[in-house]
Amino acid sequence: MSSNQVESPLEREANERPRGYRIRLNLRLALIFSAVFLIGSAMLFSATFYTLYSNLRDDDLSHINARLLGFWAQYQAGGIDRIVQQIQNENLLMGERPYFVRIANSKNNTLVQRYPLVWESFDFTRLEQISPSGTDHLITLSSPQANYHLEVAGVRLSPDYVLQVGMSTQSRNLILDIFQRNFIGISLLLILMSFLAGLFISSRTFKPVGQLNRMIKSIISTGRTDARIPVHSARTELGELVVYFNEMLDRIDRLIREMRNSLDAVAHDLRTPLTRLRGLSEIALKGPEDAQAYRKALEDALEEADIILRMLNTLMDISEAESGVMRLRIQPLPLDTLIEELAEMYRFTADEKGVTITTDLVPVSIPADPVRLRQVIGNLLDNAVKYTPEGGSVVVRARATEVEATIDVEDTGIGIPTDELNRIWTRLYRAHSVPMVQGLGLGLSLVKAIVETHGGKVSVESTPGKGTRMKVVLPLAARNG
Amino acid sequence: MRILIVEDDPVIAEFIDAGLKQAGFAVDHVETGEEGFSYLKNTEYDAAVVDIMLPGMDGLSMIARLRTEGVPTPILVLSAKRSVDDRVLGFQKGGDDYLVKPFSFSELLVRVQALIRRATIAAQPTRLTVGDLSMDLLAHQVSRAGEPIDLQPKEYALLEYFMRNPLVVLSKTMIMSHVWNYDFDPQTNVVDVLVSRLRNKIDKGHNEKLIHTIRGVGYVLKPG
Repeated sequence: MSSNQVESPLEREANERPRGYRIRLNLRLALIFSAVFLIGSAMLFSATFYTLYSNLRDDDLSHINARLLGFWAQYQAGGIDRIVQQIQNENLLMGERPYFVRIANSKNNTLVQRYPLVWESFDFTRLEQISPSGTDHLITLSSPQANYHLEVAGVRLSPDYVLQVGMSTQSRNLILDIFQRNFIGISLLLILMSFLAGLFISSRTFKPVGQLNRMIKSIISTGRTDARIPVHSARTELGELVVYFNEMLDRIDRLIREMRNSLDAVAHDLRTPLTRLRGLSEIALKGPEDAQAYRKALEDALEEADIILRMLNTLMDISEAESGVMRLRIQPLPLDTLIEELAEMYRFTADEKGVTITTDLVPVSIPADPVRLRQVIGNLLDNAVKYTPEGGSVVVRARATEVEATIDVEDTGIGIPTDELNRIWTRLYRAHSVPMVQGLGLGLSLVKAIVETHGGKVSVESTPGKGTRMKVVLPLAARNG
Repeated sequence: MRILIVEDDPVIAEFIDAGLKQAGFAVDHVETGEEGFSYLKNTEYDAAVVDIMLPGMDGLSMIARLRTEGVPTPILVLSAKRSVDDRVLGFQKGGDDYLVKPFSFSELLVRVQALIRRATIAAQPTRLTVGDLSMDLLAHQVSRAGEPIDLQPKEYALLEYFMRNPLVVLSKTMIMSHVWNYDFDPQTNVVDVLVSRLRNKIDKGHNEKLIHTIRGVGYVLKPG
């Protein structure tokens, strides 16, 4: 985007509104991204914390167990006196971890008890109320002055004595605290990073959308459809969108060009009959003031006006069909019935000329616009009858395969010279050899345009002097759109 | 019979006005949709001819407003667009009709008369008579001066069309769309052929010709 572009306030307003939407979309995506990350972190934290906690707890328990086993061994070796002596001599704060030790009698009354001074605030008398348990269930003591607990496990030395050993959870709490603090810090950092990364990635992803917006805006304000958005990668969905958008612009461009061309053609084709109309009136006015002559001129003018109208209508049809803006009211039509009705109508004209029209039809239903299809077949029949001399014949056949229907109109008429075969579909073509045949010279262009709008094809075979065969192939599956 | 014309082009309005007056109607003319609305709402007309393109309120909006106000006057819509839009088709379903510019006056007349006929619940005739030509609509029999005439189905349809609109010049396009029901220009002289066949059966051997050709316009059925 060029930053030195000067924008009018109106353009700026138009520019800012869509951009606001884009940023909001970006932000939303980045937030979703962060939220997912946050939930993931929380789950990871819980799992890690639990594992760490269990491990540390098992570790503490094994320390308690080791102490219990030590005292138990003393008891086995020297009885209660030895163990009491041991307890009294023990330096409780020495060794790797401080501990608490207690021996109680069978009634759970304390016989000997020692603990480090720092644990004075703990209410050890509570142990006399709780029946001592084994190593599988710990008793927890807490103190209002300590931010840690004491965990106490016990073992029955004999039916008369119970030994209990306790240790603090202080070191465990410390480790878990550090873990918690670090993990949350790192997570916050990562979430921030994920948010920024999300914002960055979505901004990048939506860059083509921004370009699209600007392009559409510039097309709306300038009306120019020749600009195209650069395609960075056609493999992503947005890349595809850009490709399709460009294709759509191509199509609109082509449509506008074709409509402009056909407008020129219509104007050109109408000039001739308009000149004739003008000429007729002028000649009448320049001539003698004669009511009969005036009347004749007016009649001619009326006929000429009708021709102009018919021509205009037909030209509009051709232009609409060729530029692809013709609205078709597609419906399933019984092709054989439709041809039979038209053949019956054209027989009026053919009979007058001594030309026979016969049909050879198979019943088939095709998806088509009824008015347009009648126009196609009517024009082919009209041509065939017009260019077939007295005593000749016209045969209309309809055949169908799984995928298409073929209509062919064959006459025993004058035929078309080989070098003119390609030109019969162009506007205002008329057979050179028969200038007296009247018509607009638009019929076959209309036939071709309508058939092609229906997704079909037209073709012609002709032998001069022997006859012509016009063929229309229409698909049996309706075209999309 | 009273008809309102709502048309802003003075030449077209004059041409319709003169023609309808000549055909025996009382005619009023206004130029805008707003005026048309208040005229049609406050006065009872038998039919109205309304152009779509009007300054201010357009013809279709005017009709829509009239219909919501419950004004039932049958309306013939004039459109300059050939590809008739779906809104107009919608009005046509509601009993009204449309005509595409440019049109011949006789076509307008025929359609206005048809609209009025549809709106007034008059007893449908079982017999049509023009001069010494008569058509029995129930028995599908035609006779002239008592002599029965044998007609093909299309010839019968054309004659019925003529006899329902005596003295009105019917154009080739009108005959084409009425007899064959085809709304396109088949670029053929089939109408001339059909008329000439009918003429052979109706007028041959009679001094008084009934079917007349009006060059540049069409055909008309009239005695004398």
